[in-house]
Amino acid sequence: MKRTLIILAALVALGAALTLPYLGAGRFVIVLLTQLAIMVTFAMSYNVNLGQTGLLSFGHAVYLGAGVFSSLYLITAIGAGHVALPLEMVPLGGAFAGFTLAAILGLVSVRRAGVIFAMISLGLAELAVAAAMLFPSVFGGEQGVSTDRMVDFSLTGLGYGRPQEIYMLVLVWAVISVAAMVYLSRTPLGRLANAVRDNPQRVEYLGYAPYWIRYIQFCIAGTFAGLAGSLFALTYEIANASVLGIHMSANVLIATYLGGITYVLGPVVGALMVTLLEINLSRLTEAWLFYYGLLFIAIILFAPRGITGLLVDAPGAFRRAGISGMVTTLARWVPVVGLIGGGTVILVELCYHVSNSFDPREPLTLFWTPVSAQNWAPWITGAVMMVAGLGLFALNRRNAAPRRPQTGDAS
Amino acid sequence: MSILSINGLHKNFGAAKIIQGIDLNIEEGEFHAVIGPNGAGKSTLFNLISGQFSPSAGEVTLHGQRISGLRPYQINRRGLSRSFQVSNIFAQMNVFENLRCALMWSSGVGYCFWRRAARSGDIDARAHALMDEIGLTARGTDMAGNLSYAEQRALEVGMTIAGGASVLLFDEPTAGMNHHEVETFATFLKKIAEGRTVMMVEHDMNVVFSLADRISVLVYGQIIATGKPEDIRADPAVREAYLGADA
Repeated sequence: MKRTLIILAALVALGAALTLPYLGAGRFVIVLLTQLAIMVTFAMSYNVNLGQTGLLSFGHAVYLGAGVFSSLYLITAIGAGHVALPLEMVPLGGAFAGFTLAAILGLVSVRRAGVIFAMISLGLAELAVAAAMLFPSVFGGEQGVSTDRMVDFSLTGLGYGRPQEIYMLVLVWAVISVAAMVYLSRTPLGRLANAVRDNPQRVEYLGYAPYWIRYIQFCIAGTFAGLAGSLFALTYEIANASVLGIHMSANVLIATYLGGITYVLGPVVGALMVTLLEINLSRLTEAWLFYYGLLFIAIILFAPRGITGLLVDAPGAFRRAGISGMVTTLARWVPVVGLIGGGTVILVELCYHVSNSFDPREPLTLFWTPVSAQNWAPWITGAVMMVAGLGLFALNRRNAAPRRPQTGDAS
Repeated sequence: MSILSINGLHKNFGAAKIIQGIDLNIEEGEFHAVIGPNGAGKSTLFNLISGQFSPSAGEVTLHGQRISGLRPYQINRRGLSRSFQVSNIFAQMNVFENLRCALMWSSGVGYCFWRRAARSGDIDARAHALMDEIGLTARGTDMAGNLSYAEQRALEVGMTIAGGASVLLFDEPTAGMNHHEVETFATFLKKIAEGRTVMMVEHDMNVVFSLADRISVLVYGQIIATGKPEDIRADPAVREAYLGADA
């Protein structure tokens, strides 16, 4: 039942993704969807390490970067006629680059999990960035490396000049990658990776070397990160060393965590969420990174199994609570979320307006109303909402029935 | 020839001499209990045999082959499996998955990533059979971390025997159980031990004397007596060093 639902949802999403370009979706939507597909692939590859094997990496973008730069050069080489490879197969090159780098760096990374692995990954990431800066001839320095994907050599005969065409290519590869990673999680290796995540010592007493399990998983993660990098290169045709930096690594960590690391498809949800936020929220407000951070903190505090965890738990919670129970729960928590959320937005926007805008005396639009940041009224409104919300929150927590572990009130 | 033999085994941690020359031969099919006061080195002895530590001197042989110095997984592949004093299971995986992981290697499944686990030989069937044997079929899809303590102990033993090892080491299998649970569990262990060679560390003397064919008494890193339960019970040195102190 649950399985059919998931498959159905996946098919609907896929169908929508495939038909959208033909339903007259604009350039913006196409670009957004392309970015989504890349991010989904990258986040899935990240969770092969984090959620499945228990390896918290702070340098996953290094393998993305390997795919990006190798693909940029590969595309140029194809264009110049040096390599006889159809453009559709470029992601294989990126995957190979990611795999090779992971196979080398993995040897020193995965001896231990936990803090030691995290620190090594951070060190390697810094090293990669420094190396990229040292060799501007390879990584292009600030300007980066660019290429032209219209190479006149493709299997389908498409030129891949238009966003719709490259979107289809990216989508196909993203779907293949996600399916492959889901499949891998069901193999003996995937199960052993879960076992190593939970208890490496025991695995060693069952005839397997935890080191090799981590190493193979690490290589798989690197391979698909490289493939995602290839899709990036195909889409944007330009990149500088910032793609392999800490910022990119942190981004994928946040996306994966938001989605829920304990679910195989959690990163898909997370990547969708983060990309949509990034694009839409950044058009709405300058303070979007701030909200993004707040959301991350809220998820970690109140829903450690991520958005997917909330979605999975919701039907059960509905069934248990019944209609009246749902109404009381909503009546209790909606005002809290509304007040705290609203108050936060008002205060944050006012602060940003005062400190960052061109002319702070200009009125700003808050919740569809023009308000002046020079006035006390909006500040007081925001503060009062905030305090009231926090007060209600404390009250609710006190009155709440004994909490079941891991249900996490959605806020 | 003994199936497991320990010759002149020493282990020092810095200046602390924990194991000071142990010689012991375990015969095939035997149920051998190791008893001794706290801090005698029983757990260290198990860790030395199973590969957690390598000995400072001396050696352990299994089926006549030297195993000391090998990694735990290499020793496990040669047919020696152990349980742990504290339940050492995969808490975030269900009972079935726990057992399946435990028996994969012996089914010839390596680090396989090209075939689905469910399609890898008969491991699913074996895992179900094992679940039946340890009485956890009803909890097959429950997360191992959510099992009761006694159930976790049963799972622990299940994972230890899953690989079909010929020699089993049980490290205080009944630790932390109440009287009733201990009785049930002792019967369970007796059943498990049939046809296998077992070495067990245990504090509960009722369990030890009802299950063991032979008993070794370990005091301050040395074995002061080895023999049949009735001989051990009558041994004056043992009474003084261990049983006497308890009575």
